[in-house]
Amino acid sequence: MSVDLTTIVNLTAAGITLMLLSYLYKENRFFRIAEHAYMGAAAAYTTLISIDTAWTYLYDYVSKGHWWWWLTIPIGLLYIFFFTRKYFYLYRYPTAIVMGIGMGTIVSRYIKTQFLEQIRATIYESTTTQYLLPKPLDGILISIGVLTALFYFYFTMEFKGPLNTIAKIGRYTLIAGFGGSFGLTVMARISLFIGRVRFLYFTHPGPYICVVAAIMLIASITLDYMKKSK
Amino acid sequence: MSIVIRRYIPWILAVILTFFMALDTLVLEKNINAYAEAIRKAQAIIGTHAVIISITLFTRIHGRRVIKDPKRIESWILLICLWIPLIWGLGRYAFYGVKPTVEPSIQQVFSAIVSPGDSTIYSILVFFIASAAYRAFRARSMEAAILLIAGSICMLGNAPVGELIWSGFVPLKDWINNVWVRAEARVIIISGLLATLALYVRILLGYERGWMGRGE
Amino acid sequence: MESKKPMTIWEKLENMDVRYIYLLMWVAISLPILRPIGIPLGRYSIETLGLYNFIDKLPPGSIVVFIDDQSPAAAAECHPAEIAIFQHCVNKGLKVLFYASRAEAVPFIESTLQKVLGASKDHPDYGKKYVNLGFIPQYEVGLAALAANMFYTVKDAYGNDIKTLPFFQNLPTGTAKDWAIVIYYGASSVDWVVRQITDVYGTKTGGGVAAVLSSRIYPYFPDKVVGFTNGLKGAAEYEILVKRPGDAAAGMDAQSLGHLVIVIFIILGNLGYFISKRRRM
Repeated sequence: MSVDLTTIVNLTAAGITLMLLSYLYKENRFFRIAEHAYMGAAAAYTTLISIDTAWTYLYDYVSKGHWWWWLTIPIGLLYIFFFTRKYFYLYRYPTAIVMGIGMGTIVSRYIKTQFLEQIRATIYESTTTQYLLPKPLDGILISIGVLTALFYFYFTMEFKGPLNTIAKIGRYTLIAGFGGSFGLTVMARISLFIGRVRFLYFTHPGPYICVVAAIMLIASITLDYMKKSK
Repeated sequence: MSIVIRRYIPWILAVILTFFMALDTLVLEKNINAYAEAIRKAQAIIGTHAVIISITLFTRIHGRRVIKDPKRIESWILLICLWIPLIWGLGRYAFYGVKPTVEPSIQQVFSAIVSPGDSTIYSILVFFIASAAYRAFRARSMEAAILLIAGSICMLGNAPVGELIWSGFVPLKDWINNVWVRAEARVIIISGLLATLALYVRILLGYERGWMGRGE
Repeated sequence: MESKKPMTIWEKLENMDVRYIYLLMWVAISLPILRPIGIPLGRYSIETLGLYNFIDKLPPGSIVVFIDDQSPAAAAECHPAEIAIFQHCVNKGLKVLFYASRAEAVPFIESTLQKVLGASKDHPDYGKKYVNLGFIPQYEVGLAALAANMFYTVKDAYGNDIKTLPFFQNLPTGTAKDWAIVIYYGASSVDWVVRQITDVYGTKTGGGVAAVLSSRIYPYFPDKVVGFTNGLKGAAEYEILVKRPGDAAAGMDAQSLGHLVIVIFIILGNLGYFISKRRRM
């Protein structure tokens, strides 16, 4: 009987899924094995893709005779000194390069997008937004919410009297926002599980693995119950 | 001299690169933009080497565990799933020119282990949310009540069944998302910016040395 | 000796083994998948319609950039959206440029091309209308580089020199100004896309995002982010809009029941708490 590769891949995937889900019953060796397999494979996969990309960029320059680009490799290899005590400072060089370039690329655009544009949008929306309440109440609520919540984060003085009321409104704004975010998070997690369940039930040989897992679960519950009774 | 090499040169390197890349975002000068592009590619190549740390850490920690206790199956599995695809993928790339993105065996490792593993680990959270919803989410105070009411309205508004129960859930959900969630997210964005800018200024001025790691 | 008061039903429910809750949740999600109920999807959300209408109005030949940032976990929500949106782009004759900002997202580009076109690099329109640039590292820095120069990666994901591909011929500026819209798929953050693309080049952003990220997009919606598919429901809406029902639409019944169960748990838990509190008082 020949078994094709797709079946083996799906079998492994279903097995990994159920081994990880077995954690819901109790922490067990199958869960740890699946978890470790995932960590190792993920690290290997990420490394391979990263090496491919880095080599493509490097080859583009060295093939044109720019030999100095080979220096990026020893500079990158300085990361290995993270594990030494005496030469640990060498690890700071590639870190400084990566961090400095990242910071420089981000900083000026950060200020525009996440500060100036947000203030502009808050002012603009205070007169134009309308979702449930009549215009411009929704927009005014957004502006009040933003201002009071920002005020709530001002920690250098004690809030008394009217200031306390402003901080309270800010706190309630944040909490209402967190409630909405919670609703969205629940939807995200349920969607993930739906994806897994659909894979288990509809991808061959998922259903067979599910039956085997169910038998093992019943056996485990029975054994635990017998141990408890003794 | 020693402290110059250990601390000051990395710091000055970070500062110079920060200012140069910030200059690139602000000016449209051909040479500056060309050098900036080359520097970004160099960063991509150098940054890729950071995977060395994760591979070395995994190998060191789990290698020590299997030497100490050869019956530790989990660590053996991790080392096998790490090194065999890595060596095979690198070999196929180096000697046959087959990119990992198209190498069938590497893609099968992804489909069989990485993809289901990642999805399942996060999907388990739905059960913990359900358990917390039943046992921990109590409207003990005004704040908790607001959070639960807003959360419940959004959950019912997001699900098709909510509209069947009451058609008002959807407009209420839209209102909560577009007014309250917008305000909250905006505050988080602005606060995050201020905190990040403060951190950048501290790094550039040399007060923040956490990025340098341990040691002098 | 004190006699123990019998436990009320609420106290018994409160002290129930948590694994029964897990089982109930599993059953609530599994049953509608095995036996669909057919709950209507309801009205389309403004977020999904915003994105759909924007893409629908684009002239043929406009360049749409797909940024794949989904991990396999987020792919359950983002991948159906990506397939539906790509189908829409194909129907409208738009040009699509794919790239992955994380290594784990690379296979999803291949999967999208296969599921919509039936082939990837071997498709006759590959290189003319659709290009896969593969993995571009360093997230925001990589995007900034690509936006400043579309020839940044030199080669595509399959090793072809991009200068030889018809897609990259006769570009007006060779920068993100030539893009009609950038669509982000993932669960981390859309801030960096808006920062590097919309606020610099004026190109609008869209999203096929996991629901957990949606709350962070609202500050930019609808001014900079014209629309986005909000998790699996948004993906289902987009699938129905492009008349290509798929995995997202199939999961909606389970989504409904799962949400209902959690809301019931919250109500029951709080009812029990308040009743027990009153009894103690």
